[in-house]
Amino acid sequence: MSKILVEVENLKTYFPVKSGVFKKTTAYVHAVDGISFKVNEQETFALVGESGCGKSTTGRSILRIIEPTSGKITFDGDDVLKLSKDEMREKRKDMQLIFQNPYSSLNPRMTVKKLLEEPLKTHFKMSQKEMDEQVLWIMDKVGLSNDQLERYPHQFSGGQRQRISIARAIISKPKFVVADEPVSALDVSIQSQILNLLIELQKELKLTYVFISHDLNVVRHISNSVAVMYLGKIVEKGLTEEIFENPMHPYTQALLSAVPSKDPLKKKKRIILKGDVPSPINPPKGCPLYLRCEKAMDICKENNPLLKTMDGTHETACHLY
Amino acid sequence: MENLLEVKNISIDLKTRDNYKKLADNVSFNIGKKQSFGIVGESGCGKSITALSIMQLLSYPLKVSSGQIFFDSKKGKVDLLSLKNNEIRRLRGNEISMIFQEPMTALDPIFTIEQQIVETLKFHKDLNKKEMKDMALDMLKKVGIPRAEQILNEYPHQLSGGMLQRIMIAIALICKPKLLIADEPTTALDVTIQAQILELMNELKESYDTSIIMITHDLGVIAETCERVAVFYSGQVVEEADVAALFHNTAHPYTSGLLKAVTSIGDKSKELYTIPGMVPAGGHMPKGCRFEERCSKAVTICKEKAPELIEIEEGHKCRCWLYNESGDDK
Amino acid sequence: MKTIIDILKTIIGIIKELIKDPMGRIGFIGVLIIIILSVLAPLIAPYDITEMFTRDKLTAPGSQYLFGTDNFGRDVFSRVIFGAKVSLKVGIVSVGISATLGLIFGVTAGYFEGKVDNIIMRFMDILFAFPSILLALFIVSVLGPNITNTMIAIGIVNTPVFTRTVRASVISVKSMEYITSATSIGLKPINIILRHIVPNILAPFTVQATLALSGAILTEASMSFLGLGIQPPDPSWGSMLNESRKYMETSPWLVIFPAIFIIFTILSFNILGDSLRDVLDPKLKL
Repeated sequence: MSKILVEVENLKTYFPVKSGVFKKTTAYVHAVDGISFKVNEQETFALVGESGCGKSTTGRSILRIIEPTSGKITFDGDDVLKLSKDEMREKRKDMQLIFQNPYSSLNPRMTVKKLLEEPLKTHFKMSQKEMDEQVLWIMDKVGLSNDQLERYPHQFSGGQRQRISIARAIISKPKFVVADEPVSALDVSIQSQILNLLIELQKELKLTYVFISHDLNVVRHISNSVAVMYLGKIVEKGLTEEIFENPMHPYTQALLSAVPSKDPLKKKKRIILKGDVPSPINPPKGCPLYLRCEKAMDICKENNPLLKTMDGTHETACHLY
Repeated sequence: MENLLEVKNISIDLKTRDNYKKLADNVSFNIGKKQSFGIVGESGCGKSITALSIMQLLSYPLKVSSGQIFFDSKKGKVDLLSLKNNEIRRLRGNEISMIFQEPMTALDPIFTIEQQIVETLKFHKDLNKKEMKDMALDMLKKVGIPRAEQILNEYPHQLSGGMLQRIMIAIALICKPKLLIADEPTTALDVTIQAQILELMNELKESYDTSIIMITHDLGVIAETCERVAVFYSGQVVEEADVAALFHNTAHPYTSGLLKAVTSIGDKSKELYTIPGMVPAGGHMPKGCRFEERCSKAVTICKEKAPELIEIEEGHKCRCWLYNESGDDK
Repeated sequence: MKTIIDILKTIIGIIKELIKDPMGRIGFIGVLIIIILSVLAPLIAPYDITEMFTRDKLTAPGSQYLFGTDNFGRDVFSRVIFGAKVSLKVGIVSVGISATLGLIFGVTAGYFEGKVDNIIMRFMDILFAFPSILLALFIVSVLGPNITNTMIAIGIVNTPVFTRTVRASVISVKSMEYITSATSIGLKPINIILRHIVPNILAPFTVQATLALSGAILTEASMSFLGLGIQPPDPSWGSMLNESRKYMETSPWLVIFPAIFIIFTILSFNILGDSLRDVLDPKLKL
């Protein structure tokens, strides 16, 4: 029985909307609107959804890079939200973030060597010799060569920069890594290189991942469990294979059918969702998918469905069930 | 003219401080009438700048250094690159239109939707205010915008990406152009909205008899929307074929590598297929084949001499030493 | 912290890049000429700047006095060259003052935002609201007209512009993901500012400083022209223009040469500043 490393309970992150001359708060953006999930040790848990669904904000809220509004986040036994700023800074050596954009997530004025030494200098008291060893070790692990240590980020390609980003996150040997769309900004032929690297690193260093992506194929490949998000809420959650083989929520079904097939001779039957995503500012009280769902009923307009267990770990939030 | 567009030997240079880099090298392809043609390649391969060059949209420090682009316009066959400013302006938005990747920034934030649609009409057609408004309304409905009357008075920042892209399509098609160039039109959109937009484009292509050049890095989009496709690598066309042939009878090792990398994602049982190495940096082109370093099938000649783009089967071209003119594998 | 060698290497690299472009060459050489003139002034100047050749007052330019003499019989050429030294000194010190103050205030305002930002920027707005010449003259009249106070005055007057530029750069850099990365590693704010923010705002800051130099030189020239900057007998191009007002029609060389040097210096710094912007910015573009 796997131990739970991270548990998120009823997480909410709201952003105030200020307007008027005196910048009064008139409304709130419900970026993350009450989500809960558990991540087991050495597992990859995916958060999938389209832009604006709150998956990125969730990832950053767990790490308190964005301060959540309410909820409970338990990491390795500690309630992360109750830690002081200094305690949190110390905890960061175990909880790292990999960014989406390899072009803006590395300081252009620092060499690779300095970028990799920085996490070590921040958390450990190491001699230069010890740091050099660690740097060499991580460069090798991510597939970069040592003669590249004195170079600057702009001298590398997107894929290589992402490797540097990964190295920087992993060098402090964290237990838990949130990967925020780590391959979305890369070319297709490089995506597979980086995904392979992430999988390898997980096995070797016994890492636990929360993997955020909008790309369903990538999610299917890399994750054990997945949660589908829409407008700040989880609409379906469970084991990856189960969700992909048997999607129950209409949004999940539409999402899966929207991915273009890679074979021109096999045209897919599409479920097209009409309309657009509603605004996360003061969201509607009923089901967030109400206006776009073909199977909507009257109860869907009034009542926001809660997650119900369907089968084992498969949960879905829909009045159809 | 048999084809609608003939791109012949186009080379595009980028001027650096003391030198220049060749970003597109001797690119040629033809677009037929009422045909949807895909151009696929990864970042930096030259597909976008080639598309921009068609309507003379490249500006300093980019420049077309050689080649011609013939277009079957209403006034006969013309070399688009030789047209003067006022002549090419007459064609833009009228006989050839373009839609871009970022709908949020492609529309001017200070004008209403009606003003932006009507702007095109004002320049190309001779109609009065009411006629233009009616045409705009009609077009918005055709692209599936609800509450069209209301939307006419709204501003771009009030609308979502999907809506804006539809409006861009409306502006592009309102003068019934013969050719629509779509540069990554759905890349910035969510996958459920992408599905909507691709379906819309397919429908409109039928009703307007417009040829579409679909530029993308997503092979799935190509498979869904195109009849013919050209694959770009490092500034050159490396393969050109009908879509079915490209996917099921792939010739160039880069294309097959790309297909394998894309389709292997999602199949948990195997490790992901990757194409090792990286695209050669612009300005340091090898004398042989540009893909040689990353190619699993490379032989000695690949490093020595650069292969030409030749027809290996009817309608199927490839730039690779594995094939010769008659179509036999070497 | 970069070592001196690293800094020198960077500067040499920038110069190499600068001279590739014709405009960069012009700007660089122009500024170099002014610097050499001001440094070698004592060696180049044929005559002492205060020595009055009473028999040769108001002589036109010729073989003996290259730029002629003024109404006191002083050699204009020597005075103009020493004027370069004065102008450059005033320019550099006053820009040094405004750049330092601008950096401190701008970083504080930009990084912390909120109330701190408000207080600092409103103060800067007040300073900025005064026409710069008037403010400089006011400060100098309070402190007393001499070269040091001129430099302080110009320094204070230029501080708001620097503060604004630095603050804008800081805010834009703050939104970059590598700052979030630094936070996620666990760095303290002071480390984030020194290691990640400041090095990345140096490019627009450097360009601003180069352009401000030409402005400072012009301001000094104006102040001296009005009699409230450099006092006689110290030579400054502005004071030379002031002193030669009465003799403009009969002895135009008294006006022409200082004016040419002012124009040449300002143009060189401006062209250099523009070229620097081209050289430094693309490296920032990722």
